[in-house]
Amino acid sequence: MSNSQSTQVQPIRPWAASTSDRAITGASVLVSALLTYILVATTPLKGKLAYFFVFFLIWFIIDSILISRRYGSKGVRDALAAKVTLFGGVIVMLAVASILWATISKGVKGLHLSLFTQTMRTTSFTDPFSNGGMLHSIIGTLYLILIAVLISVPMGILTAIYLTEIKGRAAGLIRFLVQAMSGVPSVVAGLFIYAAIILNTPLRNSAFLGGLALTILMVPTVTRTAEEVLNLVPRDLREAGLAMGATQWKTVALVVLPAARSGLITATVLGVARVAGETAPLLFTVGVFDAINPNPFKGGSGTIPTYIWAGLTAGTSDSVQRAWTAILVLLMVVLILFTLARTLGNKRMKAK
Amino acid sequence: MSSTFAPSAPTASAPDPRKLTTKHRVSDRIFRAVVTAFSFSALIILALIGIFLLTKGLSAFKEQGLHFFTSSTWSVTQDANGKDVNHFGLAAMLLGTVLIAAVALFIAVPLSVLTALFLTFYAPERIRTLLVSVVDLMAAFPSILYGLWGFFILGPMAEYWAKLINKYLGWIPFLSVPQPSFTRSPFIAGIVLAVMIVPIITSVSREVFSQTPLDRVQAAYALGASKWGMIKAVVLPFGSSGIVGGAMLGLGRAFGETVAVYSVLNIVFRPNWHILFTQGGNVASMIIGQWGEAGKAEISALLAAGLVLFVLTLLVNFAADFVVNRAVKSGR
Amino acid sequence: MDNVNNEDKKVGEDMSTQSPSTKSLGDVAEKRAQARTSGSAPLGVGLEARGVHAWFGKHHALENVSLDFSAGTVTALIGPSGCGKSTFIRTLNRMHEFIPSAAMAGEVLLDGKDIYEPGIDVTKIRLQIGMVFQKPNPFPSMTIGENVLAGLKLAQIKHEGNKDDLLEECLTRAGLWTEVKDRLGAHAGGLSGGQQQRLCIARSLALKPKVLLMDEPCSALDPGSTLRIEDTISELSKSMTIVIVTHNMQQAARVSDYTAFFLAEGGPGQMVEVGPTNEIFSRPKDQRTENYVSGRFG
Repeated sequence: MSNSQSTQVQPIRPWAASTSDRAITGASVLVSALLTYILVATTPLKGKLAYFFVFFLIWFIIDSILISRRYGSKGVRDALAAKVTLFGGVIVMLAVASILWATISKGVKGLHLSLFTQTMRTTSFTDPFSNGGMLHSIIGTLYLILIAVLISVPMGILTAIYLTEIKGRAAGLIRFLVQAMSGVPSVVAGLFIYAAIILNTPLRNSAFLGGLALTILMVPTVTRTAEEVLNLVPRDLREAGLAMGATQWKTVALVVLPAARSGLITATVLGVARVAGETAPLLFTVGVFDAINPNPFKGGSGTIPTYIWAGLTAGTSDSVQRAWTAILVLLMVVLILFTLARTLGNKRMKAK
Repeated sequence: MSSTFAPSAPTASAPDPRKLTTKHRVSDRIFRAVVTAFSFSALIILALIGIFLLTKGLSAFKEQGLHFFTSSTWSVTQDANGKDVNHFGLAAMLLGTVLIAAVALFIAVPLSVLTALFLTFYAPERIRTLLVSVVDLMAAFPSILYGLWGFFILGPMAEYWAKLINKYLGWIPFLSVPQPSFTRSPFIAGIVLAVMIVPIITSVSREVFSQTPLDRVQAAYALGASKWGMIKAVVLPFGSSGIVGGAMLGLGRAFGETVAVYSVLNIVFRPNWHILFTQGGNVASMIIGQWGEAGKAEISALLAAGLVLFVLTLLVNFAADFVVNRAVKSGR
Repeated sequence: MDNVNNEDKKVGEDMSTQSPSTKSLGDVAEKRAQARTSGSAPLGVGLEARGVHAWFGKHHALENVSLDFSAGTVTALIGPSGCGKSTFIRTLNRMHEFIPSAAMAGEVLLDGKDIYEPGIDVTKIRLQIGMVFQKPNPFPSMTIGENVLAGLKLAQIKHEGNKDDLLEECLTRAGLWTEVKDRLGAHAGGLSGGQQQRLCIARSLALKPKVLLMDEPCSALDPGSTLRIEDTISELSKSMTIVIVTHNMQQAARVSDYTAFFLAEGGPGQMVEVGPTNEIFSRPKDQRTENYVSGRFG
């Protein structure tokens, strides 16, 4: 019979890395770094590439010696795999870090208050970058997003409703088509609007057409996320509505959609984040424009991506500086949208 | 009256199930009709894209015939009488599209699988959520950002790497160069594309890996497998089709990328196998490159090129869907 | 408890709704105990748990379990759901630690050495203490033959001798050889549930473990397969130590030499009583044990 006294026994984890294990790992990393430095300094190897590879090689060798003693060749293979995957992850993180660092360090230089209050109406892209601003492109992008949201969100939600509520026989086909649509390259969306509208109707470059092109890119994202969200609404909610004799559309409108509201907002925000930075379709449908155009249906419009494009292609250091600053602004916007979508999504999860 | 309930006699065969129908109320019929109509919008839009690009690009197809696909010359000139002589050949650009995508996949797939393995099996809990968010954020970077970064930051570094590769591996035919000029090459464009598609492949792979059936994982460990042994025996066979599906999604994205490639590639209408050499092109970037000064005939050709791009990406996406669905069906 | 026969009958009557035979559990266990003692000296190695506790995060799941599994015996762990039997068996081959919040205390001695000692290669432990799971889990991407030898590949053990001989030996010991000998190249997914479970047993045997742990190995199988596997267990126990978790008391009575009864009364799971199987079922010392084996709860 075992004792059932209340014990003062402490839980331990004998399998976790002990402090001595950690110390050994830390020491081997330091020694490898030192050896790398020495090796690179005294041999013809040079550059970041050399440091990177030599470090991982030396660290692996040192680690293998320590491991093979206790764990044999199987342990060494396991450790190699662990290091190689770490290697891969580090490379990816370095790439992201490089992009972020470049954007911030280069973009910050061109930040000035009038950036948000002036346009390029009287300034050329090659003028010193403290002149002029991007107000027109911000307004233009806002128009684009508004138009895209007004069309794609209802479309996307209705399609999602078909897939989750009506579940007709064509559901599989439609899901497949939405997936296919998400693979349409952005340049093709722009070409399509050009071919269908500009070549066939009196309408010419305008924010409206740009918005239509972005709609094509946004609908699949909204539909897919909305479908996921609607599927999460518990079945009993729907059944409660239908059991009271309500019609399907009333149940959907008054019960299902409000229940999924925050998720649908997430879907919208994700869609906007996806299209906010698209450049190629705008080149065919909106063009580049230097002043504020209050009419989205007539006449060209500035947009943030085309502003960046113009800065990049003008080629001077001032114009390129404009491009960096503008992309910093755009990146901030996308980051905010993404965090918004995430927190909304998490709140939804936690509430459930 | 005594109620007698005779036990149900076994029938020779079960009756056919009744068909359950309902007559929807008017409001519901309208609702269902509207919703169904809107859902077919995806089909309609895709069809319209194909139709319009085809009709507007038709003149180019008719004039060039098969040369559209086999010739590499792209020129708009006029002959002695002032008549337009146009040559529109996509061959070089198609080759470039495939080459750059191949370089991108070659770099991105191993990198993504390794990162996905790291995130799923090796990363400590606290770091994992942070790193996953970073990878997802990467997917949201605008493509023009990759263009800027690719040209100004990556370009010089990649040029140095290209020189190194050429120095030591230049005996391999496609790694040699006709002249020592390494800026803005298919190789660099491939690297930029690789960085762009890594988040797609990583997140698909990560999802697949995290769904590895736990009982197989435990079986491997119970047999004395190390973590890598378990991954090799269970995770990779299980996730292989998911990885392939993710790679094909990335491929579709790589085919259609425009501004990022345009910034780091020197578009020349000549087929170029030497990926380290500063000459190349792909269909998407060629379209925006030529658009600015294109006359009516050239615009028609560019629209035709757009149609080709459209069909190509559709095919890749269909194939990706097929691969992933087949994996799901076989229950792997 | 004076008149043993009356007690047996009472147990038999209470169980009549559950067992088709009129034999009591005690009778069944008695029969097996006699069969065992007439055999040769057992092989295998002893496993001993001393003061084992288990936690999941802050939740104390298992408290102070000490059990001695003698070489060459079969020990059954019985008890109602949630009493910690599965948790306990997983501390015996260090599978418990895969749960992120897991922690333990105490020692588990294999042949006198603590398997939780720091600096030990845990994968080597698992080569000596094998495990068969509740749901058969052959590797679907491998053939039947590859499955059996999978353990060798995973552990990177070079097998001196003929691989085919090893294959035949393991499948024969698991009672599967005659059914699959002509289709060793077929995929494992095509086998029935019972055959898959025997394949998993063969797979564990290929590593020549000294102890075999079985976590409800028959609960997902039909009665026919169950009996075949029980025969296998009896055969195997002649050359190794076996610990089996089971919900099925008749199985425990049929198959084991010793039985340990686990119970969680609102707190952490504990081992209430352990003893020779025939005694546990006919003359349990603890009232709680008697309540359980006579079907009053669980």
